[in-house]
Amino acid sequence: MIRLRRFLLPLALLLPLVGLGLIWLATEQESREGTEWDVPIAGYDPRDLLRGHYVQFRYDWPAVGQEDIPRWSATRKSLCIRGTAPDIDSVEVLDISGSSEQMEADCEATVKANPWSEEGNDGLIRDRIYVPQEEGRDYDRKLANPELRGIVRIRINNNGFITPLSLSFQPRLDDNSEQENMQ
Amino acid sequence: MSERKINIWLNAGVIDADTAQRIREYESGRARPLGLWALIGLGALAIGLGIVSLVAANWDDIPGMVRLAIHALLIIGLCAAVYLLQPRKGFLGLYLKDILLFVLALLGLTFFGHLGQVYQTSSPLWQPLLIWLLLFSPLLLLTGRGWLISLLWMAGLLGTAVQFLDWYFQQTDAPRAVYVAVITSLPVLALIFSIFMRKTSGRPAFWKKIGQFSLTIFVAGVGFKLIVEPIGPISADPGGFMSDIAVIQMLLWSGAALLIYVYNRTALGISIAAILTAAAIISFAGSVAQPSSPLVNAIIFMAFWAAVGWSAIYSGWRNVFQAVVAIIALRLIVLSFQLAHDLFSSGIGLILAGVVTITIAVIAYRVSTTLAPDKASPIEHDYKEEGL
Repeated sequence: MIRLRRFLLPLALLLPLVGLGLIWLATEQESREGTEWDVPIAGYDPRDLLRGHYVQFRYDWPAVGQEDIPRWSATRKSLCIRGTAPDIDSVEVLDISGSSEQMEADCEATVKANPWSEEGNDGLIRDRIYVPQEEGRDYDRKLANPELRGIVRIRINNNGFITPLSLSFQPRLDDNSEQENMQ
Repeated sequence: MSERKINIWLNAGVIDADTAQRIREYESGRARPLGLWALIGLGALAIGLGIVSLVAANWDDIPGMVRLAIHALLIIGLCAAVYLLQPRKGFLGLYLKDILLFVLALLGLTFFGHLGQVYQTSSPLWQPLLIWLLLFSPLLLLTGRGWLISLLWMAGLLGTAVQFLDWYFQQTDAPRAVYVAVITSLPVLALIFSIFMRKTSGRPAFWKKIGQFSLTIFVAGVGFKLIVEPIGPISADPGGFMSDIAVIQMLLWSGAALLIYVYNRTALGISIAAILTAAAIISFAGSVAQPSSPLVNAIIFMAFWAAVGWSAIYSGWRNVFQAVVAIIALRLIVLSFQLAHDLFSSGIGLILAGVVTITIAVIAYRVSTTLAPDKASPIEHDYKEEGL
């Protein structure tokens, strides 16, 4: 028993080290998987100015009405993205419950709301991206500027969950030429 | 030791001149250069704050991988320090090791947030908390010695439970009663665990603290539930969700009471078993009956606290008993206002309310001073090592 006890402390010390290391590795691994896409953003909410070192934004999926976007992951609906990464050609709401499996096949990527994210069930509608502290003011100004359109680069991992990677801005032309603008 | 106090005692005849002299000599031998230590502490604090603000100011300029690597190295270094200090006795082995263990556990917890910041990932708070609890519990519970580590562990357990329940109610439309009942009973499970470990582990003081915190959280939680449930948002209980929870909780808590009574038939074990049994029955009765009358609600609330008070007398927990008397007195005063709220509309009514309040306060004071178990009561004396 005493012999066994000698190993308890090293084991108890190794457990968090190994555990944290594995989690780091898994996070690193996951961050390399998936495809990257550019999504225009809109409807920046100025009430969220003070919510820490991040910018909160709304996704402005091309050709999908705000009210059609699946909110609740339990509804088994996802967004089907067509195009060649990172440029989105079209986005369509997809019902994954049952028959439309082959429909999913001709999607370049399918996205669903990550109920475990900060945004919960609204993960396809809004999201947040961390920005460096000294650049926060700059981002604030650009987001409020009606001449500029924010484009967020997202990674869609193999589970269909979104991770926002970076935020850039392009001058906004007419609504008609929006698609070209994104190229 | 204040010179003034010694003089007061000397003049009052409590101590004689020789004793006063001996106290002065003893205290002067024990005197510490408090001013010096205060300045050293202040300097250390300034250095620490300076380092923190230097790191914070340049946080964004340090690449994420470097930051994570430094974070991981700090954790590894602290693990090594804890390993080296573990066999030591005295200040190094007892206090410094606990402090390092505390810092190590906090660094482990912040590592999850740090990963999320560098990789821009997110998850509900209960997930990192649960993983942290699983990874660090063996270490904390195997090597912790004092209140710092036991409090940290209890806070981790409670935080995980609260965060999970919060998330769970958001995620699901039809929450399962059994999950809620088991998770709200975690303090009871921790209490049983602490009572078992106290007998087998070489650190009874640590497990006693775990037991105290668990029992305190449990009693406070049940007391809170008994106040909130009658006035809370869940006044109607469609589908019998609350009563399902109450049934499972009653089974769990009375099972725990039986286990503790059988395993530890001392004053302590009997007191804890009594509190658990009372909580099981009274909480169940309150949830099932859902009484709307303030009098019945107050009786249910006071019955639970009376059981806690009885246990306090039985085990000689003087401070607990006095707190219980104060709580019951406050509830009585609130009840008197609930029953006769129109008293406030007239001068006579106000006078009556004042008289009731003062009467209850005076009676409570007398009860708490005369009935309270002495610090050296025979029961406590027998189980001095056991007493909570």
